[in-house]
Amino acid sequence: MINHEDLPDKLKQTDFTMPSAYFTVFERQLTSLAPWAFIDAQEAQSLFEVIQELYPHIPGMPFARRRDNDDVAVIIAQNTTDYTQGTILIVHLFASKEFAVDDTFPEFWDWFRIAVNEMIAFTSSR
Amino acid sequence: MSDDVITVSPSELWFSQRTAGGNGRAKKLRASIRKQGFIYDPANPVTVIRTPNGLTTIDNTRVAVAQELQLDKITVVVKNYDESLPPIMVKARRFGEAKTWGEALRYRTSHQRPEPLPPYGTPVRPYMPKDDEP
Repeated sequence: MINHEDLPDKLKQTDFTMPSAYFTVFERQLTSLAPWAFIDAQEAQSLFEVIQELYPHIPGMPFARRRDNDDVAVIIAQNTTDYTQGTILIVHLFASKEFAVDDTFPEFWDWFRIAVNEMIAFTSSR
Repeated sequence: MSDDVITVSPSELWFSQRTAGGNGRAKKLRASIRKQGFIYDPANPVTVIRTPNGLTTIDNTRVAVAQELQLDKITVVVKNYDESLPPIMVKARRFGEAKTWGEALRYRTSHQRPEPLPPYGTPVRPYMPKDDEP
């Protein structure tokens, strides 16, 4: 889980906090969503730096990733001309900038619903 | 071009995933390739790994779409199985604890659901959503 003290220094200096829905998921132990995996603070810190390097136009905090492909879920930490704080992006890591953002969700629960659907699809046989 | 950049028929390449192109990614790539053709981007090339079975791609959607659209040739970068991953991929833990392209391939194939793929991948094209599917 990523607590406020785990945020990168760059984000600690802003008004950004992880959404309450994120903590609710942990409180209720709803984190087993393979192929999605919630990432720990150390991995989140490294991924934050990588995303800043690859996609400086995405001011976001990574919090989950898929282990079967390169999708990373990122929460936008600051309002920009392109994004609103709290929006969730699916970033396809190491894609060209043009193809980096695969999808956007207005808030955490919108992403969570999709993650649950993907968990069901991948747990079932096709 | 360096020595490890080649042109190859997409039909000759193996895959490391069972699914690809979700969240509209396949749709965007189909549209792009239909409009502009397959663009070789040196900053983000399609990477394939040399295995005893041939060449297996780690960048599945682009190759799968190229195969689907029956392109004759695409440009890819070939990596040897024991070749080191770029430091930024190790830092990103793109393939967990993998340090080489071979370990990366094993990581990616072993994390496929509902069943893992064989360690060198599969010649079967990954399932991709059609353009009118989410």
